[in-house]
Amino acid sequence: MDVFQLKLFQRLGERMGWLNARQTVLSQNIANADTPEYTPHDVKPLDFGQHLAGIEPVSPMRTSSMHLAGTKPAQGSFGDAKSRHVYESTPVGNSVVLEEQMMKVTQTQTDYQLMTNLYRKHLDMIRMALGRGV
Amino acid sequence: MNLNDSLKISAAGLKVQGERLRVIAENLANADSVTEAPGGDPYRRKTISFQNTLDREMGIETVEVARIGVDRSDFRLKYEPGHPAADSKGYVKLPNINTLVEMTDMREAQRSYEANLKAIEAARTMLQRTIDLLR
Repeated sequence: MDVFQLKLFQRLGERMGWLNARQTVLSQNIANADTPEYTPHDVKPLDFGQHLAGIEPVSPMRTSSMHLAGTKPAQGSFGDAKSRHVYESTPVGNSVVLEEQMMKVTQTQTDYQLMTNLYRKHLDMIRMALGRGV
Repeated sequence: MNLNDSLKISAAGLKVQGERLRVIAENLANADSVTEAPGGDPYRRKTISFQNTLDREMGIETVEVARIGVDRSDFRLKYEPGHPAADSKGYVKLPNINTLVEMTDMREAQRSYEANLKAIEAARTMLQRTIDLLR
C-alpha cells in the first residue's frame, strides 16, 4: 500500500512543501537584509479550499537542458508576493527587519517539526494496525 | 524551491557580508595612510553596496556585491608643517575615515552574518527532521 495515497499524508506533504518554500523565501529576505530598495517577500498562505479544488499556480518549466534559462525566478507551486505591510524602511529603501524575519524562521521551523511528528505518529499507527508493534 | 536553495541563498548572504567586512577592515587599516607627495591625496574611504540578483541556473534570487565605490566626502586636515606630505600652508590631508562609523558598520555586518547563519541552521534542522522520518 502506498502511504501517500492517504489524503492525510498528502496534506502533510503539501504543508511541508509549503514550509520549505517559505524557508527559502525567508532566507532570501535575510540574505538581502542590506540590499538597497529591497522589499521582503512572503509565501501566500496555504489555501485549503483551493487545494481541495485542485487549483495550483501554473509555471513554466525547463524540460530540456537545451532550453534557455528564464530571466525571472521560478515561482514554485505556492507563489510568493512582496509583503505589503512592512514595519520600517531604511533611507536606502530596504524594509527587511531581521527580528521579524527571525520570528518567521522560528515559526516555520516549529510548524515543520509539528508536521514531521504528525507524519511519524500516523505511520506508527499504521504499523500498529499491521500488527508489528511500534 | 527546496531547502538546498535556501542553503545556497544564505551562503550567498554570508559571502557578501564577509566581503563587506573585508572592505571595513581595509578602511580601518588605512585610517592613517597619508600620501608621501606634498599636498597629495591620502587613502579614500571605500564603500560597498549589494544587489539582489537572479541565479539563472537555479532559478532563485540571491544577493551579490553590486559595487565597491569610494566615499567622495572631504578629507580631514591636520596642521603639521614638519610632515613630508604637508602642503604649502602646513596642512596634511588625512583619510576621510571615521573609526566610529566603521565600527558601527562592522557590528551591523556581524549581525547580518549571524542572521544568515541562523537561517542556515534552521534549514539544516528541517532537512535533518525530514531524513529522520526514514528511521
